[in-house]
Amino acid sequence: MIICELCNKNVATVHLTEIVDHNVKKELHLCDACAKEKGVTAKLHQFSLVDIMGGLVEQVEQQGQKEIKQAKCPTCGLSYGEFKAKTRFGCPRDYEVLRDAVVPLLEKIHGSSQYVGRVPTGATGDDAARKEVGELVKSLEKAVSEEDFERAARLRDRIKVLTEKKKE
Amino acid sequence: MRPVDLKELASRQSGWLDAGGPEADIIVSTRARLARNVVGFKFVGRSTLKEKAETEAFIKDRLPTVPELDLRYMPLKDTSATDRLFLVERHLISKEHANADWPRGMAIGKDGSVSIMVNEEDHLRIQVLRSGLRLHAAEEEAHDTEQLLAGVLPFCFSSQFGYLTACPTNVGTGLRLSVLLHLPVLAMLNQMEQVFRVLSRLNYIVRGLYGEGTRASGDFYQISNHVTLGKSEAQTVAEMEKLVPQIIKFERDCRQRLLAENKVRIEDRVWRAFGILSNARAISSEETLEHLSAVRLGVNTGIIEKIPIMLVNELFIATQPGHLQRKQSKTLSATERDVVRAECVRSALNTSH
Repeated sequence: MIICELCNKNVATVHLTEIVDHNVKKELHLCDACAKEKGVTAKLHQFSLVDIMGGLVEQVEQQGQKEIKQAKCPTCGLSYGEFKAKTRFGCPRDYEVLRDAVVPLLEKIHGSSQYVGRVPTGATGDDAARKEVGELVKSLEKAVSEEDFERAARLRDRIKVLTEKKKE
Repeated sequence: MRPVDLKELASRQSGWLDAGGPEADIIVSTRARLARNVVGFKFVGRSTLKEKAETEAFIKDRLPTVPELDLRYMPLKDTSATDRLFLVERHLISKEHANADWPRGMAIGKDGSVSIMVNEEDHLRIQVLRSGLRLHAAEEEAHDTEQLLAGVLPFCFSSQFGYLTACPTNVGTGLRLSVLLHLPVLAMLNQMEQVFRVLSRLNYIVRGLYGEGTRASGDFYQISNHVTLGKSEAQTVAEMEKLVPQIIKFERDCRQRLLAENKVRIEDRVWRAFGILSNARAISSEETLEHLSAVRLGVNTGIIEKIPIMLVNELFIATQPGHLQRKQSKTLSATERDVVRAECVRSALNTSH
């Protein structure tokens, strides 16, 4: 269930998509009340998605991650500010560099920040699975030490699925 | 690698237009799309022109090393606007991909059901398009295609976030699973608002394929999943396999009811539409879609007997601007297009019965 990105309370029923410069597609989910408040009608958009998105990332900031404001990716140069402005990543490394902002954002968009899909196989299938289990165990330990038990439970389930597959 | 032959593409029915598949009266097509990025390159939005060209070349060089896919490549930078529009109309590339102006391309497999956009928002957008309701098969074929490509292209992946994409709305499975539905009676009875509301609550995106707002031109709607993280591919397929049949049933029930209670109303709508399409000398795209929708309903309910559904499906596409202009081999003004469109529809409908 997607929650309204502005009030964080109601279920989102208005789904907006904005295409800027042919390439940047942004989506935003609002409840009826917030959409009305922002003046969203089917035809007129008198606000910029960027303003609202910026507000969304603003909330993340307020959740106490001050260091993130200084973050800048050594590989592609994407800064937190640029990410906040476009909500687009510049390279895979950004996911780690901006992790503290990424995780809550993904929770808002997908209701989760933990992948549970297919694991890449290929020539080093076993190695990949083993490596993944190792990384998951590390994350599990971290989640437990941070008393994030919901996340820990999800990780534990994921590890179980993967290790059961390996036995086959 | 062999180039794409647009003439050949235009002359044959694309696999997914064969009007076959389960629930083909309501589900025109099913699409599974996977977003992937290649290790060692910046994402498209952050790359310089030179870097974009390098990424394209890197990918393009490796595509022929997967002979099972039998891919043909078409760089889009040097194709005409009409040809790009043609590809959008065939659902092979997105509007954004057509309109972008950097090094990018499209690869297409032997029967046209597998296509890959190179350097759209992500390095690769793998797409499988099948006729009718075929969620499991489409997702599986997309996965198989992706696995073959993963053998020659390293994809960015993290155990926590899954397949890494430029936009956070795609990260994880990178899977966008969608169906294209024809819902003329639900639209006629103003039930689409309700459908929208229910689907949004369940995290599904609904949009009209043509036009905007709640009544889509041609009464075609696309439903796709929104979540790509925290749900597996199998879960997404299972969810949609439960959800879509309910919408199909809703449309079918409304059709039955309307036919039982007020058959004349539908018959009148259908035959008036047929009359206009068979006789107009100039007709706009908007009006064509409106009447083709009624004709399609007519064919599906047996009101019109001698027109094959495949012909109607093809007309939806053949009457669009890119297709019309390709056929005439020149760009046309809006007025000229309206005339050519009318000719196209008239001849198609009059020769088939």
